[in-house]
Amino acid sequence: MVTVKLKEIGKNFGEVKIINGVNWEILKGELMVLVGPSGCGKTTLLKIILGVLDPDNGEIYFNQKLMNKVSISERNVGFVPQNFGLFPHLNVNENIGYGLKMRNIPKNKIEMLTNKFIGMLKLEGLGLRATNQLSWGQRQRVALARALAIEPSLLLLDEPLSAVDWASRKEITDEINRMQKRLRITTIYVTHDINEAFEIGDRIAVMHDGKIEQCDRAECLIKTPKSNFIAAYLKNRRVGK
Amino acid sequence: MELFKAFMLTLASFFIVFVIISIFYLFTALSYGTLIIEYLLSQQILLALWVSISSSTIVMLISLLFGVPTAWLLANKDFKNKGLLETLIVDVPHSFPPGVIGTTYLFMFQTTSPIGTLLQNLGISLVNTFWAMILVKTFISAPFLIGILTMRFRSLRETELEVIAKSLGASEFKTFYTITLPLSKNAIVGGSARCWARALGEVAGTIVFAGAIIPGITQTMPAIIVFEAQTSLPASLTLALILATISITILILFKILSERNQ
Repeated sequence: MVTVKLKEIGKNFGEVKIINGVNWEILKGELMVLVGPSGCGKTTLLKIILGVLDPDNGEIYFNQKLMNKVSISERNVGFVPQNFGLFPHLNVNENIGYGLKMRNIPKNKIEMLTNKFIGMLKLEGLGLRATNQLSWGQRQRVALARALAIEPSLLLLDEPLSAVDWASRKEITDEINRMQKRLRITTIYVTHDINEAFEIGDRIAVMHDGKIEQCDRAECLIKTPKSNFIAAYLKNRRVGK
Repeated sequence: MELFKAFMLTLASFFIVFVIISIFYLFTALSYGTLIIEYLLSQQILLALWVSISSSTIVMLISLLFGVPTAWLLANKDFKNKGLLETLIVDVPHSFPPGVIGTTYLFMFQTTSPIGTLLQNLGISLVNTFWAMILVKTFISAPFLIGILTMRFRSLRETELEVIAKSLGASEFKTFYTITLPLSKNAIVGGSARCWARALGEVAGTIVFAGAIIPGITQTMPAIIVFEAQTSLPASLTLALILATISITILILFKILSERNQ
């Protein structure tokens, strides 16, 4: 469990500025939602934190440790992409245990931990199934179990509901909330849906044109939007929370 | 819409019929039954078959050894002029007439060239040898494997499965070994089959650079077929039938292997 701090992060693709001086702090154990319209730079920022992309400038800290030069495989970040990213040639058990195997954990311990997460995410009886024989909801839970099994310092969820049918959405957001509260893993949840952001996040960071425009609790965003963009963006929200 | 469908269907049918007739016309050589048996018992033909098959298999293995890392590099690393390099490695060899490659190598490795002189000083002479044939065939055939593998590795990169593997703690090597390779089995088998088949059929570059006349060393079946075509068409057709039958059988085995992996 870490505090994540980004200082003046910038990233260009050719001449195009995708991330434009992002300063952002995610607290230990917090469920932070990163929301913004498509193309605002959310996924790029997530990939920088994950370690897939190097920022052109700026610094990334996990607690007080500078992470810019730390490779993706050493960051200990659990990542669940939009399409779940399950390994199609491995069954459910093997998918969940993959990260443990890469850490050279003994076979019997891998089995024990895999069973623990199978139980925690209600996947009992599915361990030997091929991933293409699972429902969308089950696939999402396998991807989450696989990311959690490595006991990550940070969990990144990139639009986790985008490939999920409407019937499974509530079930999955509840599952993510329950897991996050139980394990208290620092989590960044990316979405373009403002309603989803308000339903799930402790705090919400609104991104626009490569910058975090405001990062606050839901009620503060509503009461005191810091820009016209945020005020207009929040109007798309269904009335509720 | 119906007109469009009819148009597409007509052109496709013409092409399919053209290919099928071309393949099956070869089997008219079955009428030379006694000639087939005679050739199958001929030591020269058996040696040529052996040279053809063994050299193509060696070319396939060399192509795999160097082609897999080359395709991985082209698919996964971004660097300046990568497109140009890919065109040079994958596309240009496809468009080069094999005879031109043979001539280039002949020029490159002749005893008066710097490389040829260097090799001669080391006691190595390449021209008119089995390894000259391997060199020509590799240049011509490896791009078939590299092209297919590059496409597969590139499509895998887009799925982000390798990124996920690394985020779970896998090193670059373990990611390649546990994710990239198993998910590229079909491309590897399919690419190897095409590479092998291309190497088997190669003749012009082999004749120019390796001579293709020493039985058991450089004389291949395609070379004999080409030489025979100038004097005896039935003999050439019969030999072509023998080679095609063996080639098709091996390609079917590759196909079965590939389908088993699915």
